[in-house]
Amino acid sequence: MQLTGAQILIRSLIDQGAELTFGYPGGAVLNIYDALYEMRDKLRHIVSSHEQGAAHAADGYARSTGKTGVVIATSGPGATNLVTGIATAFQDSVPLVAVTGNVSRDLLGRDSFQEVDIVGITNPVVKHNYIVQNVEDLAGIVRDAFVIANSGRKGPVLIDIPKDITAAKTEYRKLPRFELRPMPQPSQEGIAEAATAIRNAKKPLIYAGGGVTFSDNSQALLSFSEHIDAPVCVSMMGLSSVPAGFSRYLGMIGMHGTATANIAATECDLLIAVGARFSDRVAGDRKNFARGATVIHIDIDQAEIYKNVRAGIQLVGNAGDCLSMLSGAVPPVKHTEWMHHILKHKAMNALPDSGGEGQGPSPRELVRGLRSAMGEDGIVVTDVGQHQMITAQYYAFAKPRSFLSSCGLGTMGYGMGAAVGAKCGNPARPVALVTGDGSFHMNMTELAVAVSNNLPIVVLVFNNGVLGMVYQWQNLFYQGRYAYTEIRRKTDMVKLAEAFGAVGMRISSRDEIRPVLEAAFACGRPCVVDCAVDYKEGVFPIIPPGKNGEAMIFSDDLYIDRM
Amino acid sequence: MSQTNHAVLSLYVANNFGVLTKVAGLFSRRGYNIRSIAASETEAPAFSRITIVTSGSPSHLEQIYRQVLKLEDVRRATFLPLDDLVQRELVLMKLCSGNEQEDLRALTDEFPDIRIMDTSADGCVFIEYTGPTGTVDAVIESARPLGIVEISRTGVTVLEQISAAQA
Repeated sequence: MQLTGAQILIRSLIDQGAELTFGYPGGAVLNIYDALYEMRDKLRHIVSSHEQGAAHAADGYARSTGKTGVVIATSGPGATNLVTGIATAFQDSVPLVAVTGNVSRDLLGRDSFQEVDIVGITNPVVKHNYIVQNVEDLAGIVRDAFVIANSGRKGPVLIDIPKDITAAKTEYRKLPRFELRPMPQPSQEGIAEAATAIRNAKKPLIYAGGGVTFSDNSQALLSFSEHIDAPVCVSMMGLSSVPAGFSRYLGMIGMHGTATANIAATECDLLIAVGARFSDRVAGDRKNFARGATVIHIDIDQAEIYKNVRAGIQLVGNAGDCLSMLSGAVPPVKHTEWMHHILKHKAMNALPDSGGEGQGPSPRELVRGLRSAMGEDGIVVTDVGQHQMITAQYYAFAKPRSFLSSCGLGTMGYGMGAAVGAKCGNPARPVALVTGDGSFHMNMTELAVAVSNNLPIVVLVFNNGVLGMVYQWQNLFYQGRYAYTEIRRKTDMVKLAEAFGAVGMRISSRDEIRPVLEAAFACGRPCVVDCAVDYKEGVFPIIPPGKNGEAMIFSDDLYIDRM
Repeated sequence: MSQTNHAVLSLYVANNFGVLTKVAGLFSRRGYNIRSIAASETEAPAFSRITIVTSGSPSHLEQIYRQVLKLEDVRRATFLPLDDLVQRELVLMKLCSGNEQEDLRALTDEFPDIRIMDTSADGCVFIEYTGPTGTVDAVIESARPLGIVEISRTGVTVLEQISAAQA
């Protein structure tokens, strides 16, 4: 059958399993949108307010469902607007296929209208990218893009298609659904070496990251932790892979991690990293991180193993495969004394429970209130800043893939788009965005998409009038010189919500948390809840940048008033 | 500080759009050193060979190797053993001292493989030399007193004594 490149593109996306795409129309993708319209019964399309929002929506869809996110944008500004979303997905290893239109081949390289070298621009933030030169290659490229995005360590792939290719015709042959490339297998010697290290360890600690969450190996991790009787901590990317109630769980490690997780890292004699990359937010001083410990590093990306921390024992492979091979190589062991010591520390150093001193709702109470309003099934999306860390610390996650956040790139403005994507992919589950007034102002326009598509997302704006995380650093590390962080916008969040066609609510006291959140979830519409939060509320504990657990700061007793 | 080694990295890459940019971009964004880079087509038209001379500590070189292998277009990467290489580099030099013939005799006595090319309109002489990098360095040093006006080097190109394809 002779079809145009645009028709082949859309059919190929469907052939590779896409059910839903996000994007924004434009000149260079007119043919693609025409083909999308033709196939609208088979492939849903959600139009964003801004291409960045579409990229984050595809990302949120992918993180929450495990499927491949697909986003389409036009050439030039459409393509550049995707870049932050692509970089976000790259840093957090999210499978994404981004399709951009470009000007026709005879106009390429002439600074034509809406022309940009998006392949050159995205090189550092994609697993791979293509500029399609022949319409005959298109179906194969789409399939390869899905293979690359999903194989090994996942990540984004970009396909740039000149407009004349979308119009050119060729024979369409349906290609089979993509298959993953074979996973690397850990060496037998590595497994044996790791097994010996585990047998000899007195104080083992497991440190799990996004590689566990997003390879769906949470269960394997829990079984392994029981098998070798070791406590587990997670990076932010690993959050939700271990249920909060799990007896060996120590919470998050790193800059805003729990005291116990960070102390365990300094005291352990064996650190088993699983699908985690020792980022500077975990190993602030990477040369001295877990310095008393032998390190076993399990990762599917062999380049991670020597990148930040040099592991004594490396296992390159899928987290689940490696963990079950290790369980097979070591008999069940007990570390009674160590577990007792660590769990006692955990009990004595629980994160502070109470709220702040003022009348207003504290961020902690709001997060706990959100958890009870959503139940175990809820999906929580965040933006970036204090609200994000408070959510990471206080929300009791029950199921994997229920925490979506820009952990690596730290993209303020990620949340509203990602929440749209998460709700599209999980219509039956409650979805909430926890954001701050700074982050929300960045991409709040995506709220319009939630309204037009009847997506009942609850948005909690932790509104404190300041760019809280930077403000906190200025308090701690810049002697209270609050340079340009006291934004104090005059935006009326309730009126704003109503103007968008959403519901607006307010929480200004503690008593209102529960009834307002219940009403917000009950209203069945997108709902923005303005939460008046005290600007003096900091995120603690905090480890100053470049340091490890020993340098942890526990409270803001030294709060400095404005200089 | 840890020791720094020179190393020759040979990449066999798919001849796709922008492949050289992808390789060079990886080096620049991760802060890896490129002392020289040479790229050309190979015996198979769909593939190119990129030869990069880089340097770093052993763990640094290991990281470079692991990162380049992540690029889709890189099909094979080999750090070539420095003592088991056919390694060549070409240099062109323009000399303008005024009394070339006299001076050049000493140079050609020292390096008989030097080729002396046409004299340019302004009376200068072009010299071509091909050899291992170390000898190219030596030729340049010996020629320096003769008044080098311009130098252009190709960067190293190499083949293994026993090629990876055969092994």
